[in-house]
Amino acid sequence: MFTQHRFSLFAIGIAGSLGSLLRYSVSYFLTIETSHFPWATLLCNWTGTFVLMWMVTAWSNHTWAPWLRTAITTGLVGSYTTFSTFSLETVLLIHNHAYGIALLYVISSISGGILFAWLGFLMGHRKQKK
Amino acid sequence: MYTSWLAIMAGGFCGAISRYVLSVKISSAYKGVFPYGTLTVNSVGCFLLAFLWAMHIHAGNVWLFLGTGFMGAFTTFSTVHMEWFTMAVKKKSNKGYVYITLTYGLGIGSAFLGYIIGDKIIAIF
Repeated sequence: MFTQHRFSLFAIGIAGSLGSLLRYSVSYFLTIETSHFPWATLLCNWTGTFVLMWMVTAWSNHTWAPWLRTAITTGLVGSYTTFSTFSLETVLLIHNHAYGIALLYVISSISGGILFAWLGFLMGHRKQKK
Repeated sequence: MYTSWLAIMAGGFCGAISRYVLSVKISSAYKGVFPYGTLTVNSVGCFLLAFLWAMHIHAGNVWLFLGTGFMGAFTTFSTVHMEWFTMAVKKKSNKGYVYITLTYGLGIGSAFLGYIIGDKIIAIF
């Protein structure tokens, strides 16, 4: 049976597959680097955090179907950003004695995540008011 | 080219659904603002991705399916910082800092563990 719940899960899956493909496209020319700064993952995570906060704030008054909202936010943007690749890259950098780059990567991920969440909220709030 | 796209999309499909189902189940078991669901999913995903990498599964369509697709979609960065922001706005900033510290600490820690265990297993063969 294709219930409402299963339909919603299916939509999250479809959105998740697109988000993953989008992330792969960003990192297409920049595969997991073991001794260089991982720009591709950082770019996905920063932009994804901004977009997610923007959507959640700007669309807070919209009466969209819940399944569509969950598919786009949790499915698409949630899969576009990744935490496992970030952690693996950090471990590989440390493993290759690139301690400075590893530290810079962790710090820029945390502070960038916080900053872009704020920016997304502010821009989304402005959009919502209009 | 297209088989690699298919591998990533199939992995992302399964990973996103697994993350949603698991994090909703775990978070509803613990009533409150603290996002145990996302924390668990991210830590498990970090362990498994590093484990796969150490087991030399880091090339070809198997990696694109399991690593880039599944684990990449299973774990999330944007939700972590959205949840942190929500806690900060609700004046639960102390809990928010605990959450950020736990997410990054457990994430990198479990990735280390997964890497070491995978490395030990591959050394046996």
